[in-house]
Amino acid sequence: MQSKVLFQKDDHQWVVIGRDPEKDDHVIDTNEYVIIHRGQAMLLDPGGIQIFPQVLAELAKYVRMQDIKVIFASHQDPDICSSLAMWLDLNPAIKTYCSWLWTGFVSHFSTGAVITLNPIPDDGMRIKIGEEGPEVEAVPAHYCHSSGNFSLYDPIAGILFSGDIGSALVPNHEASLVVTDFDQHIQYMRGFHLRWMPSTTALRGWVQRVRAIKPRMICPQHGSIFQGEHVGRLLDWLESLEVGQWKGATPKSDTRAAA
Amino acid sequence: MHDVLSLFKRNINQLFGITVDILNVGRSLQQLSLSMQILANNGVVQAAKIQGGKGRPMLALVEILNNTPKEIRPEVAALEHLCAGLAKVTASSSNIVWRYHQLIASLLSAMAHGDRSSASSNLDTLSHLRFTTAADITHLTQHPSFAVAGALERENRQFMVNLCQANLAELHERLKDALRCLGETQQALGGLKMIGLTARYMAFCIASEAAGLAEAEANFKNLSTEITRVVDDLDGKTLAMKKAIEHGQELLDLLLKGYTYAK
Repeated sequence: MQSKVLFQKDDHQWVVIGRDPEKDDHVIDTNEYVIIHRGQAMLLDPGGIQIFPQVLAELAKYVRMQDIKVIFASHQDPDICSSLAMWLDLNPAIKTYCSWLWTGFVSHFSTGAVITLNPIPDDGMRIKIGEEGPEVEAVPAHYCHSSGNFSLYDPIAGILFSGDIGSALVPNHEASLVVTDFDQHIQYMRGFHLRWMPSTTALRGWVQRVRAIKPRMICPQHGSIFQGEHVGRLLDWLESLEVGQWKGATPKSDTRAAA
Repeated sequence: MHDVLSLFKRNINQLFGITVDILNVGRSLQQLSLSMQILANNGVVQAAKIQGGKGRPMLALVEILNNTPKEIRPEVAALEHLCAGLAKVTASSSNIVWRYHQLIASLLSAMAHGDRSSASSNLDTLSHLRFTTAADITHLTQHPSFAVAGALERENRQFMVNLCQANLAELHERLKDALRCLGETQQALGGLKMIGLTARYMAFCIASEAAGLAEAEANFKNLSTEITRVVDDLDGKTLAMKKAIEHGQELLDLLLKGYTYAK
């Protein structure tokens, strides 16, 4: 597993963990993000149980285990939070947030102790990083792709964690962590969005909300990160997409390849 | 080293299979007790046909047999209760060993990737460790790569080690609970064996009494043979349960010592 500091100002830091060269081929590659403020950490989409040991080992370089205070799950999928029970075993006091729609479902990831989740209402909410830290904002992203879905915006860093929106199935772990050629990158995003995003209306609504926020960096859960001019290009591209169009015909070859 | 721990984990899950084996045999005894009741009812009818009070001893014998289902039922209920307890303890053990496995993997991953430039990151010298005992974890902390890291990472590694030790201690407690459950199940089997012995003795008495009953002799000898067959079946089932319990005990003894069962 590899990690990289994405943002560092004073005592506020963003780290991305991902691109594991030792990962099993049958497990989809994911990016895990951590926001650390004055030594206290918030973990964004901590990942699946398959990669928990590697993520934990990498995270141990940046923060004390006992100082992981908050976990944010953008939605309910296993690659997002099936490791939740393990994190809560490390520190039962971790506050976990996910859409109210999924709290009862995500609790099934428990392996003994009851998982208590803080429900995020549909309109989103502000969440503190740690006990005394600044707040980040859960931005509604429903039906992009899950029916109860949130992105997370950190105003200090200007970074938006977008969950599956902007995700790409890049060919291997050597792919660039940051998008350098947007046109070239589209091929890795297109199939993913056409199949996994069910609603064009919802996707365009999300784009409008994000344009208002004006993030300087967009960090998806799979694939590469967008910054600078590529943030705007991503939003334009997403707005142009017609998703959720499958009507029973044979899926297009690029979608098959993506799946 | 991971392979041993994976097998250790699988062995714990095998306890589920043993629990199910015991429970299934226990439940099949309910059917067997019904067969015994039918035979007892048959005996009552046959004894009632005998004239001149000669059937009274036979009636008394089959009445005793008639109680067998009532005696078996609470024994089976007790077995079900014990098996449910065993399944719960096994589920808890299974969760703990799963968490423990992940934590050991995290620790090894941290040590292997902590200082790539150093020869100390080579963990080959740990290949003999099974990570199924507290001593193995202590051994791990003495490897040079454990300490080759910054202060933060060292602190986190020690935190993981403490958590591993706590999980392993908790696992051992659960495995001991499972062993105790199996012991209690074995004791419950003693009750069933006594019921079988009583029924077998009744069958013998019925056969003896039948000798003086002239024309009814054949009917009661048949009844005695049938009772003996049902008791043989009961013995067969309790033997199967005994074997399952002993297999569970053997498995748990090995696991508690940190060994695995490869068969």
